[in-house]
Amino acid sequence: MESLDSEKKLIENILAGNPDEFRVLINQYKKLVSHILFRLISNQNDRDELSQEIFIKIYENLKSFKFQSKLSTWIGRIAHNTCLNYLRKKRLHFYDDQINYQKDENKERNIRADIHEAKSPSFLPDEVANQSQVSSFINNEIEVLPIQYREVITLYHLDNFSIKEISEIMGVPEGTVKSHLYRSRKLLKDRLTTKYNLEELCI
Amino acid sequence: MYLDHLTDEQFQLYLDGLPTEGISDIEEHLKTCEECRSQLSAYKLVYKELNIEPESALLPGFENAIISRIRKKAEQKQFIRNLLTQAAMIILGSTLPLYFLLTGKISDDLNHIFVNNWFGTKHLWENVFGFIRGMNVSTELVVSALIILVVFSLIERILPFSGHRKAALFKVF
Repeated sequence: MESLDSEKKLIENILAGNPDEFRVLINQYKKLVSHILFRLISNQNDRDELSQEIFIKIYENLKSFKFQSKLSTWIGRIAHNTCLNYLRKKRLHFYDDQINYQKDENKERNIRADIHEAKSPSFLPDEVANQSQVSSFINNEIEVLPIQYREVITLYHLDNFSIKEISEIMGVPEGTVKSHLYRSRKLLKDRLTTKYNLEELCI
Repeated sequence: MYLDHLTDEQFQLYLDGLPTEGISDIEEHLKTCEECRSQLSAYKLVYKELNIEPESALLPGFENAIISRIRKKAEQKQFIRNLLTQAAMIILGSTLPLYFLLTGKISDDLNHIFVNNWFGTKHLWENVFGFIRGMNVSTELVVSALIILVVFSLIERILPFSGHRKAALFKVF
């Protein structure tokens, strides 16, 4: 991550009216924006549109950034809010969209019910488990996690944000972030151990 | 050493590398408990996938589209700003002389502004507007507007400001 001084210098250069300096900022933070888009938005056209919207918002609001937080946290918050607003708006037209906490809680209950059902004696775990199968199984399970869980695990594991920073980005209390992080990883582990024999997983 | 199996919280704290009480006890327990070792392996597989960089959600060269949109927006803003500045100058250029003409006290007002022969401008202004007074009304209006336009243009060109500061200054007009 860039030092505070170089970030200040970069922002000054951008505000001096040179859009090409903004390219430097885009390159520094495109991974963060990409991670959030990847986990929250499934449609590629929507991702393209939103990536532009996010960076233009960053450019237009850069003069109001006063280093009260890290630049990465501030950019993460803009990306988070833009995606959520987009999903909320879209839900008005497409009722089956995902952004609904109540719906997400139901989703988690369904996952738990699946696990319970799978643990019944009639369930036979797969006989063979290889690395790529396990990998693709876990990734599929990540995709069906509730949206806020997906965002928390991405920000924590891929962008190395602390719990406090994630709570700033998502605008929720730190306790909620901790709980999402714990529950999402436990759910993934439970799904995995339900699908495969524990012995098979001792690779 | 723990006699019961480890909890999910303990597994997660252990793998996160966060300070947790009794870490040596956890490690001791793992040496002897196969069930917990399997659980730990499952968690390790989950963590491994969570730490893998996913495919990029952004198209290659997407930044060019952003920069060009920013440039376009800036040009539109500049165009509107220039338009407003010119409109403001025309309005000022035509109403101020009209005001001075109607009140008939150009020299008095200007002398009041540049009190006590400020930088020698008193005589300059008296001469300029004395000259204007000698003309008919329409010529006077045109000449006054031209003087103000020239002054504004010069200010805009010679100010040692970069783009956005100069623009901020001209916002007031």
